[in-house]
Order: sequence, then structure tokens, then C-alpha cells
Amino acid sequence: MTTHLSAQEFVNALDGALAAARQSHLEGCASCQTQVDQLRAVMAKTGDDAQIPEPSPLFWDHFQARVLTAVQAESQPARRAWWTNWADVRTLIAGSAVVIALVASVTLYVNRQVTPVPATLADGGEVVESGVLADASAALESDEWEFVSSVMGGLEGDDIHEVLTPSHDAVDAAFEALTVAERDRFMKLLKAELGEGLE
Amino acid sequence: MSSESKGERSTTASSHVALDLSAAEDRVLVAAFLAGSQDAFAVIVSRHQRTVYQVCYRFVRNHEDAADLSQDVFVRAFKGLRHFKGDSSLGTWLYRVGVNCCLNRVAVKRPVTETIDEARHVDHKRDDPLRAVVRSENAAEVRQAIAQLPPKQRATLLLRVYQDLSHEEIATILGSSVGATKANFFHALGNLKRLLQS
Repeated sequence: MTTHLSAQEFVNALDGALAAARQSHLEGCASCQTQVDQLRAVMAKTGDDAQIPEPSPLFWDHFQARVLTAVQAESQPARRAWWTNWADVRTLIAGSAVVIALVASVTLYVNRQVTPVPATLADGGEVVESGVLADASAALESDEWEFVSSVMGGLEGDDIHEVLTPSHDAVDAAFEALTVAERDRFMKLLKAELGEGLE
Repeated sequence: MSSESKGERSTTASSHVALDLSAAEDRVLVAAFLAGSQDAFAVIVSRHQRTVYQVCYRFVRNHEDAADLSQDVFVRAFKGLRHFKGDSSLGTWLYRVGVNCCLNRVAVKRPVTETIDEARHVDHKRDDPLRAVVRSENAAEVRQAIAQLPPKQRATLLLRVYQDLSHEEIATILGSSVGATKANFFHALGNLKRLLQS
């Protein structure tokens, strides 16, 4: 007894390429013959979908240009906007904050040198601050301090830590950014605060 | 050699041979492209664009996606032609790139749905109106059944039935053996029969 056709042999039968020995089995086997007929009918049915809608001639006119444009776009090295690099942005913010904090510190320190004046009562009995507190309050209300606050307020905890404990490079860079007059003033303030050990 | 000077040289060279390229064999076009001729690539696109589009359309069943996919195929071909070894014809290689693009797209996109335009597409030039309508309805059933086949069976069936490729070519395109390709085709027809009956 011969075996029925295999999957590959059924396909060969559809193609008219079945080996002679197997062809003789097919002719004598009703089961295989039925299956071949059914497969042939399915193939015939697929012919109903042979046509696909043809694009307009205009499409073909533009397709080549479209491909070449896409190819050129792919060939360009990818350019990344500077603000998409978070590391750069963090460095920039931290650097700016260090400079601003430095300037604000100097301003606050200068204001602390003003002679304290006792608090007085205003006309309405309200306590009016003066001296150090008033000066510090004035400094806190200044535009610079608002800017510092807004910058610091938008930072994560780690970033704030990074800003408040700047690296030596960041401090050096901030110092480099000061004018000669500002540096002299800054050094005097440091000497006054830390003593003459800086000489 | 800098890429700029290479580009200038290829532009000059390609302008001299542009007319000859349109009649050149595919292997000549590939060689010219690899030597820097953009014109050679343009001829390759022009020569194979319809076939690539048809394969893509068979998979996605709408013009917009087929056009996008066809573009992707040629962009990939542009980048990958240097790896084309010439073991098969350029057409077969492009089929391979195209089928891979299509299978990737089909894998990530929602199941194909019949567009209204396509469902109503009737080729009035071929048939009388009544027969055309019946044929159109049958075609819609076939399309829906084919869309439900497993990806490799679907690719095998589309390439065999509609692109009339040999089992050997399909095996090369799909990266499988001829025996496996024939088995896939057999199972595709069997599944199609079952789906059409249901």
C-alpha cells in the first residue's frame, strides 16, 4: 500500500510537477484526488482578487523624488537640539545658579554691614523692621533674589544639593566671571569674614 | 578621499552615463550605485517601484500605507545595497526587503480592515456589471481570509499566487528551504479553504 501525497507533493501536483510514481498513486486515490481538486478550487478563487487599484500616474511621477528625498533625509546626521541634552541643561542651570548665589551672597553680606536700627512702630502700631532685617528683606525682595528663588524652586533635591555644594571648577568659573572690581570687593569681604589667613 | 570630492566625481560621472543607465542591467546599476552614482539608484527605483508597491499593497490593502512602505523599502535598499552580494537577482533581493518591511508592519499594526473604496472597487473594464459585482464580493472575501493567515503562510501565498514567483524564489526571499516553502503554501491553501467555507 502506498502512502498518500505529502504537503510538498500536493503542491507539486498543483504545479503539474509530481513525480511519475506519485502521479500514478494520485490517479488511483480518490482521497488525494479530492484534496487536489479542492486546493485547485481555492487557488482559482484567489484569482478573483488578482487586480489591485492602480495608483494615479501622478503618484509614480512623484514617487521617485519622494524616495530620493527620504534617502537624503536619512543620510543627514541626526542633529539634536541643545536643550534635549539634560546633562548640558543641568550644568548650565547649576553654573548660573552658582554665579547668582555668589552675587546674592555678596549683596547680602554688604547689607549686613549697615548699622542696625531698632524696630519702630508705624502709625498704625505695626512694627516696622529696620537695619539688618530690613536690608535683608529688601535683598530678598529684589529681582535677583526672585530669580534665584525661581531657579532653585524648579530644581530637584539632588540638583539643589549639587548647586549648594558646587565643584571647585564651578566656583573657579564663577570667580572668573567677576570683574576686577568685584573680585577686589569679594576678597575684602572674605578677609573680613575669615581673618587675615588669606594673605 | 573625502566624501565631498567623491560626491563631486560621482555627479560628474553619473551625468555622462545617465542615458546609458536606463537600459543597463540591474547588476550594472548596482555597481554604478556602489561607485557613487545617484542616477543609478534612481533607475533602480523607477524599474522596481511598481512591483514593490504591489507587494506592499497586498499586505496592507490601502494606498497610503503601501506608498509609505514602498518608500521604506527603497530607503532600506539604499542603505543596504552595499551588502547585496548578487547571489539572487536584484528583484528577488528587493522582494526580500519588501516582505520583511511588510511583515514588520503587519506585526505592529492593527489587523487590516477593508476600506470602503477597496470594497467597492469593481473593474468595469474586465467584466459585465453583474459579474464584476460578484467578482468584487468574492475578492473581498478572499482578502479577508488571506489577512487572517499566519504571516509566513500569507507571504508565501501572496508571492506565489499574485506575484507568480517560483518556490525557489520564495524560499530565497523568506530565507527558508524550498520544502518548507511548499509546505507553507499547502497549509496556506488549506487554511484559506477553511476560512472561505466559514
